[in-house]
Amino acid sequence: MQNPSIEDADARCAAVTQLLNQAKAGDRQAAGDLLPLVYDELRALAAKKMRQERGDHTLQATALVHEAYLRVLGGADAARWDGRWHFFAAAAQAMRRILVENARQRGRLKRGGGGERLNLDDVNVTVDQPPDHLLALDEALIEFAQKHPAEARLVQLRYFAGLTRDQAAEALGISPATASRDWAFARAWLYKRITETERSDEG
Amino acid sequence: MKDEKAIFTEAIAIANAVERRAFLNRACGDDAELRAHVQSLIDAHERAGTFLEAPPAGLQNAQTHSAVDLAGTTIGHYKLLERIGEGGMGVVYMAEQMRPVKRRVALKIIKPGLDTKQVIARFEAERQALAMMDHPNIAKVFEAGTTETGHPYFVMELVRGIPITDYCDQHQLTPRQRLELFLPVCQAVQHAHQKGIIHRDLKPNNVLVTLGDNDKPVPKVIDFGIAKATGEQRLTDRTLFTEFRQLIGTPLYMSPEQAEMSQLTDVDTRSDVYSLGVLLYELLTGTTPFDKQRLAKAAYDEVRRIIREEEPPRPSTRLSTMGDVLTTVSAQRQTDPKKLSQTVRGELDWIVMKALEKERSRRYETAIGLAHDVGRYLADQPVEACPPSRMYRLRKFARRNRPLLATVAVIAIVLIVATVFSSWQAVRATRARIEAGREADKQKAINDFLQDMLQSANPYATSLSEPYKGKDVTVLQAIGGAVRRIDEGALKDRPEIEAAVRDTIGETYSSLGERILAQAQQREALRLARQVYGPEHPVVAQDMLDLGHTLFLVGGRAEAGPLLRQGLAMQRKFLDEKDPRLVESLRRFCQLLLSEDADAEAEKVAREIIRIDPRATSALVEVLAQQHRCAEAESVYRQLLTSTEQENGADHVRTRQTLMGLAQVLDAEDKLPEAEAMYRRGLELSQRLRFTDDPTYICMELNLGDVLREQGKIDDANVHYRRGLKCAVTHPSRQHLPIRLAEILRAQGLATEADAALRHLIATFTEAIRAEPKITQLWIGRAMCYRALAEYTEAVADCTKAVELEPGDWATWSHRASVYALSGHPELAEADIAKAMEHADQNAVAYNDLAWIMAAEPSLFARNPKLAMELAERSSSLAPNSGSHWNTLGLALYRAGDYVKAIDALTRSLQLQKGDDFSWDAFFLAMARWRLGHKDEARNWYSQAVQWMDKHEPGKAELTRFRDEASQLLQLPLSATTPTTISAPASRP
Repeated sequence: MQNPSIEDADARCAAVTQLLNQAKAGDRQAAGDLLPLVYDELRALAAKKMRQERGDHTLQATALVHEAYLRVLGGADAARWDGRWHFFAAAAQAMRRILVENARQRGRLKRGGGGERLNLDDVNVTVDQPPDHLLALDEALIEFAQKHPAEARLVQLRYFAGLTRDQAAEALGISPATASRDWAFARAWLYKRITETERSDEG
Repeated sequence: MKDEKAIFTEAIAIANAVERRAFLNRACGDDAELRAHVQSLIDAHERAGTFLEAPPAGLQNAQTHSAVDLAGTTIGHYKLLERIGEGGMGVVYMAEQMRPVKRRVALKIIKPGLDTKQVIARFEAERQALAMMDHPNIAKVFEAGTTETGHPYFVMELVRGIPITDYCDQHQLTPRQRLELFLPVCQAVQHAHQKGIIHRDLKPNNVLVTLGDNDKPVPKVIDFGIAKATGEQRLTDRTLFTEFRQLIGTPLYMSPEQAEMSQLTDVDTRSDVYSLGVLLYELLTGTTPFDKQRLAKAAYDEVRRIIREEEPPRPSTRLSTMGDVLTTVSAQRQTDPKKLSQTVRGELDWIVMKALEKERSRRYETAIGLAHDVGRYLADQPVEACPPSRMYRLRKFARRNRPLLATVAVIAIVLIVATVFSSWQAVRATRARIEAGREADKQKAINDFLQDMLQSANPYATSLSEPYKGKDVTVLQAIGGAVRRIDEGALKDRPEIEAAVRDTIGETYSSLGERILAQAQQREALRLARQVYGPEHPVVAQDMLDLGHTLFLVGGRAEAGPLLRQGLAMQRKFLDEKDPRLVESLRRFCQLLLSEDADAEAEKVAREIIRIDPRATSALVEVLAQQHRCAEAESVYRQLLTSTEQENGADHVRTRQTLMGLAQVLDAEDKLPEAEAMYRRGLELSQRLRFTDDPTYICMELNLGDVLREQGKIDDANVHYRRGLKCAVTHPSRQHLPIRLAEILRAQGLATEADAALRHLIATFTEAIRAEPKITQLWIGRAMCYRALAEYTEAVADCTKAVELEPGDWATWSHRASVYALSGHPELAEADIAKAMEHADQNAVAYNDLAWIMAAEPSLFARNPKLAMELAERSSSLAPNSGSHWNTLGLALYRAGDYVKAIDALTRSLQLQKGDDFSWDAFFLAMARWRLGHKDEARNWYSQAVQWMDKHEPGKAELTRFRDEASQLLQLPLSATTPTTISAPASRP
């Protein structure tokens, strides 16, 4: 697997399945190689949906992960297959990367992209979180992962891949009760870190 | 360092703050840094809300046209030259059209987020109409298309201008110049409306000012057709939120119905009128009605709520709260703060506020209507705006917030007075400006008028003895003062205003429980409305419904029926079938149907109401209750109670109304302790709301008294009866309540107390008659009091007065007939019945009423059995589903000696009434059986009848007479408690 980036979607799916099997069998290298493949898959899927549905449609990140999962592994068996957690771990990481890139791009465009300052009454009411929020979370997560790697993985699975507490617990091989505790701690830690940063930015 | 995570985890599991603190002290020991760190984590934990619980932001294609300058590229036949603007919707380029003609145009590329195909399709749908627009103040839209990357774009006439508000400020236009510049904007919008185009997104950025010949400023409205193409998504529930939010644009200029975003309210031309109102507001004051910063910060639903519900300050009020900014704003208008406020206050305020009415039917009908009013102001003519809408708001207020009754009533006077003078003031103001131009004159005149009006109030209250003095009465009198002013011609030249004022006074009277006084005003309002608007008009329809409802409430069903039916039919012509304004009209119609025993139709109407407004269940409850579907009614009421409490809070008058309804249902189900509890809750709420002098309050006291009495708690019952009575005697429209209460007290041997109450009621009537001598029902009401006191001479005199006032009304004759019948003058009663019949006009209620008078009194029946039978048969054949009509027929048959048929008719009545009014049938069933020799059955019916009566209608005068008649026939002892002198209303309850 010298070049995991595969152009063709079907070939990519096959490669993902193979890697998942290897990862399940304990091949750490395979687990690492999954990431770029899944990343490509998610981007390709997003791009396709953007083209298909609308000129520019807002795609829900976690929904995208699950759709990619079904596309790659297909069928009813997938829901019970052990290797699926490897997929989600990779997908969560990939999605995080994609979102951060997307946010960086948007942030750049908003500030420097040549547009004048918008009038207040022209600003649309919008659901989208500001790009800064994601970037701040990403930075905080990097820091958090250095001290609490297991808890950071949990955040990644739940937030970026949209797994439930129990699914994430199963993926990480911990009990749901532990997952709850870890989640509370991670949320508090990250929230504290981000709000501290914001305050010091303001001041 | 100890484990921060373990400490944190354990700490947040401890709910008790003290214990938690103790734990932290223990766990962290003297490590202050750790302690602070854990504490900050706990704080974060508590503040984190939905942090990370909600999914991350969506993925968007960042490559948008708003970000990339496309100047120099080509789209279709257009070469983009220069980017000239950017807004919420997209980016605008100056472009050069190459084919078929070479010209400069503006090309607007809509920003991403929309379904291009739909946008283009919607634009194409309106394209023909758009092409028809040809107005110097409208920038034409030529074409729509799709860019290569799939974004919709629009091509339109290039306007080199700046937003109208900027233009006005930069050139320091005076308010007058601004208004003059505003007029062509209205005309442009009107032109579009005539071609069937609604703009939907009028705002300063879409009204540009460019310089025409001689450097004269010319406003141009741009973007016609674009808001519709891009904005009017058919919102499916799935996509509602995101799409809505994406599409909303600026909410500052958005009309309440646009903010509503419901499928039911379609946006019409009046939505543009609203936006024009906002624009005018801004031209005058420099700010929009709602604060920009505030709307920008508010959550989405809050924005919608503000637009739909909050009343913005009037422009002059807004100016007065601006502080230092006002100096700048005035300077931009070449005036000083004081002058600017003076200019705006009054007519301009009214014009703007009329355009900004929440309910579109209260706005200017058309853009040109707004322009005309502005024109009138500029020409020093009286403006059309203001008074009706203010009255309307009062009316709505009075309807919604009954707990503030006294306050409302005071506001009512002030507003009525205000209305009277404001229209008059408009005339005067003009004159003043033309003749002398003296503002001070105007102010003084207003003050004089106000004081005059308020000082004229009050004789009612002073003449009433203390215990029965009610604060409403003074208010009534004050309104009466306003009425007299109008009667004297204060609004003679403005019949449309007079109609609106009278209708409002009528509604105010009605909401105070004064239906009799209400109806006189509403009658006049309707007459005037027809005169002004012709026979078919929304205002006429509303006035018909208002009058019809009031008549219905005072028992004038013969006249109420056609009015309600026609009014509703007319209203349906003007309103959408799901318009919420229909709810109130349908509810009234439903009540009418119920009174006509048309249960099935009533239920249909009640269900229609719920289809319009799922929360409006009260009509359905009434239908269910009438049909004795008590369990169903109870369940609907309980749901209603929960939702009312949720919506309005427990301390709200609607909650009280619901409590009353639920209590009545429980009462009907014979769940007495539950009903008692519910009435008590209702009464406690009345106390808290200080709402203890209205009809609902009286009914609750009376009903609670009944429930207590039925449980054997006589003393407790009397406490509530007395409270109810004390209040009831100050309400002329409610005479049946005090009369009924007096009967109950009398049945307990408290005749003195009962008589005293009736005398107070007579005093109330006498005062009311002095103030309003031409209102028939006041005379009848007093007559009924005299009748209850068995003072027949006085009763006849009052009835005679009523007959003189309204000889064409069968009911007045019927009232006198009933008094004659009771007072031992059957021959005179018979003559009056004959007169009544001349006017009865196939009215089942009338025939029933007259037949009843004859059948109830044996001596009268004996004079003309044939007529009595004929009336009774006609009434039951006209209303075959009405139990009470069969009851009348049964009585007549019994009197005629046809006992078998009488039993049939009475049995039928019992079945139809499902237990209501049991004894009215049962005493006669007993007598008919007796006559047929069925003595055991007769005694059985009799004892059941007595039981029912003691429980449900103790002392009821008329029943008492039947009971005595039966006990004589069955050779049983007479009822002991009932003084034989008292007589009763002839009409059945």
